[in-house]
Amino acid sequence: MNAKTPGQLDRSAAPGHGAPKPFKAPTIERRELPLGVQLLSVMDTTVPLLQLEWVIPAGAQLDRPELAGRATLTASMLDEGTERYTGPEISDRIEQLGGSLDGSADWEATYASCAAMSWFLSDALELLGEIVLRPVFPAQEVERIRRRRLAGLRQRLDRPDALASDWLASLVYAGTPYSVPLVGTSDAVAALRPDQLQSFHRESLMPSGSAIVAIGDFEPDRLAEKLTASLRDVGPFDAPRPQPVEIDPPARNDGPEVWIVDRPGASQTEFRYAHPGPPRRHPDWPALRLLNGLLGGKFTSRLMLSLRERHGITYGVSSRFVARRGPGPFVIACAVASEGAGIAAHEVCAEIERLRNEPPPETEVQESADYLIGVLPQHFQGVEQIAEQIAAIYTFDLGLDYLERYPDEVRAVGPADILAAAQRHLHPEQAIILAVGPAADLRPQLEGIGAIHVVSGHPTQS
Amino acid sequence: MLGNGLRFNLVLDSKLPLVAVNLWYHVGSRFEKPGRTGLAHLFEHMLFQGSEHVGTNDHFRYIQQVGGTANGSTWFDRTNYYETLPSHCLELGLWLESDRMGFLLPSLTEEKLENQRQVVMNERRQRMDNQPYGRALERLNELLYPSPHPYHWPVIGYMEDIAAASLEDVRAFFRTYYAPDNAVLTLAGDIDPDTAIGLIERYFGDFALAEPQVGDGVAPTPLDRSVLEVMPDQVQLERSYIAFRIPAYGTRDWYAADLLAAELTAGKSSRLYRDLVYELQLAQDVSAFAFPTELDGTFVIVATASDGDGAPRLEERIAEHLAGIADGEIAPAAIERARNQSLNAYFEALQSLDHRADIVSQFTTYFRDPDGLRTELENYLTLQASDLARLAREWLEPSKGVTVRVVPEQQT
Repeated sequence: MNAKTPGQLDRSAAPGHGAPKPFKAPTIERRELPLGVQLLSVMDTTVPLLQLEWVIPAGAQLDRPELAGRATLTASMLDEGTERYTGPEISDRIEQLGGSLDGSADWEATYASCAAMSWFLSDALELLGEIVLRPVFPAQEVERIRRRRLAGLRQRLDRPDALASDWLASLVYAGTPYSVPLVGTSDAVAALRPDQLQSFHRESLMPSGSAIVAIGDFEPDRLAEKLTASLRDVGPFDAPRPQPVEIDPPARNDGPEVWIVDRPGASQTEFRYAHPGPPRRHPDWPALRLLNGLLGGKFTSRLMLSLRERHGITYGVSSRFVARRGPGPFVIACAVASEGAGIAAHEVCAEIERLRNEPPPETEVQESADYLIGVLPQHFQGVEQIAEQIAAIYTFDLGLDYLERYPDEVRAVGPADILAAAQRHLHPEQAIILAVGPAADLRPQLEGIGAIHVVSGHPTQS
Repeated sequence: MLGNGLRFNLVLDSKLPLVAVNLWYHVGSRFEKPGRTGLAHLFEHMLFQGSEHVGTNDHFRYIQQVGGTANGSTWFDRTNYYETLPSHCLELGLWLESDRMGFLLPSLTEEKLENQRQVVMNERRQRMDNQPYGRALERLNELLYPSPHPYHWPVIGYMEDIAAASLEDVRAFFRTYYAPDNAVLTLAGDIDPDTAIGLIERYFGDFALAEPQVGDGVAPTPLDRSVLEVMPDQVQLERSYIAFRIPAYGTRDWYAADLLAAELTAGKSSRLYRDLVYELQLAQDVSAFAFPTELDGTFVIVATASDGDGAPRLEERIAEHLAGIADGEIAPAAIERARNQSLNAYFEALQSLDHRADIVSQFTTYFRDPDGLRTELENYLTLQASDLARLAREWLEPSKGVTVRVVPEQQT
């Protein structure tokens, strides 16, 4: 072999590149089905798979505090017994085909999803229809799922990240449905009765106004025919679906407040900075995406370069405006070396101030926009991934042309828009700084930022 | 293959304007020496700290500003580096990967190393030390692979070893293992083969062969006894980790174990879920995996007891199931179910270019067989109940199992 010496090629600068190839996001086809159900579909024949996601616009935001966990418990029960089949019969049948069925809920909606190889379309549709339209909530099965849920809630005491989010929710959203985790509280879950789940299903999870998102290898017209047939013998539903309460977080104007959740002996600290943010449909959302990219939304963000690359006190830090129909939280999160918690708090506060005071440099904005637009094709590599995006478009009512509009919306944001968005949506005076770790080490480092409160345990469990 | 030993593969798929660049180096934690554990992984971090022509924090910057994503990972047997880029930026990916393959050393500094030592120590705390049950898998491997077996220590390394890694250790590691003939490059996606080959030759063709390697690490040692260790931790529920050695990744028996894992715990109709979680309600959750390791395979079953002191009963019941399987209890319908589950997962994974590139690199690295996707499919389609029974008889006997039982701290 003829080994050569390295260095013959000029490697001093990054190679240039030609023009990007055009990328067109998949077109979402919409069809009307009976009972006010819509079918949103994208055909994708790359692999013989299909993903069905039935999205019903009723979720945990409908749960009053004494019913916390009702929506997610109801969703978990959907495949545990229906008018025609027992739970084991359902899982035997779908899993024999290699597929899966799942019920879940978030704040805005309840989802029943089914993944299967495409040649099992008929079975998948029948079972999905069965669990959405005809679940029966057998008392014995409710009891079993409840026991698992209660044990799962107890396990949240073990996890520092779960402690951090549960405390944060209880502080930032006290008195509103957002104040507890989606899985609920032990007291509420222990008290929920099967008939309450049944009536939640009857009054809130009816098919009218829902959407079936279908992605994969199938013929949309044939799919629509089959769904039409299965919706014929259902209903009618006359009562309107209940509307969720408005989320009105408690006002706070003397922040940032510092909360330490004491875990003596813990080897690290879970650090959070949070306050209520705008709802997903706020017109500033594209500017906030760019702002967040600069701050903590990507590997080269300001916080990442500071806390990880400069200070070495964390493996990673991220920031996020959480998309909800109501005022979802703005959260900065990292697991930080306990001796670095003070640095983290000061750096985070300083970066927030900088965003509120200076427009970001044009080049940084440009890079952030290029990233958001350039990375778009990567989000269409799988049927489940595509289904999730379309479900979100439906849930937040973003319009079926959203994917086409998106690059222009991102491009339209300039440094002045980001500065304005920062001033409107970053609120240090409303912020909670939360540190879950050894209080004796944390307290001295966090003096001088704001009023300090030290607590321990869990906000709703003993 | 290039003249300097770099093997490369091209996978053509122009559905999306994307290309996945995937580079495997055949070095992982098993090539480390005791006292310097974690070096392969720490080294992976250093490869994101710039090279001679790429500034300290610029690797990710170059990639993100064109809309790309990138990462790397370290395993017992290998380290991989990968990026998914808009396809017109393929050359950028090759420039970045070749610069750190050929020109890392000039940019290495003590300051960068110290920074990444701290980052990795925080990674270890975040993933293991500050997590419930976080040290169980580490302990399981220590027991299943007694020293000096090279799977004895955790991939991320022990804290004191991470702290002790010196610049000279890092340099020597680079000189020994980061060479074209110890690497496999795979490009998958929207590429023109002639252009791609031209670019690979341009960027990697002038690298010299590596210095001879120091061998294949320490030879594996056998395990011939069962072990039970009780490990107190800050947890509410007891959990058992039960592990067995099985044949190495890539063998037909390994795929039998993978299929058995699906039969045991994939979905609500799986054998262990139905019995332990649904019928008896002894378990909060149960899962099983076959780890894809090159020297010896590892099969693990993890089950969390639903209350109190339920772990011993869970362990007994799992042993009964394994004995039943060894006796040929798996029905044809159950095999069909596991096969369909595995096929579904196989198709799901194929959707990502990143994964397709990775599996081609993997099969080329371990077996010099770029056709790994076909090999996998054939195994899933042809394995029978008798293969699973034989696997259980020969490899999953109670006398060869290692159990780590994690219990709430106050109990001890």
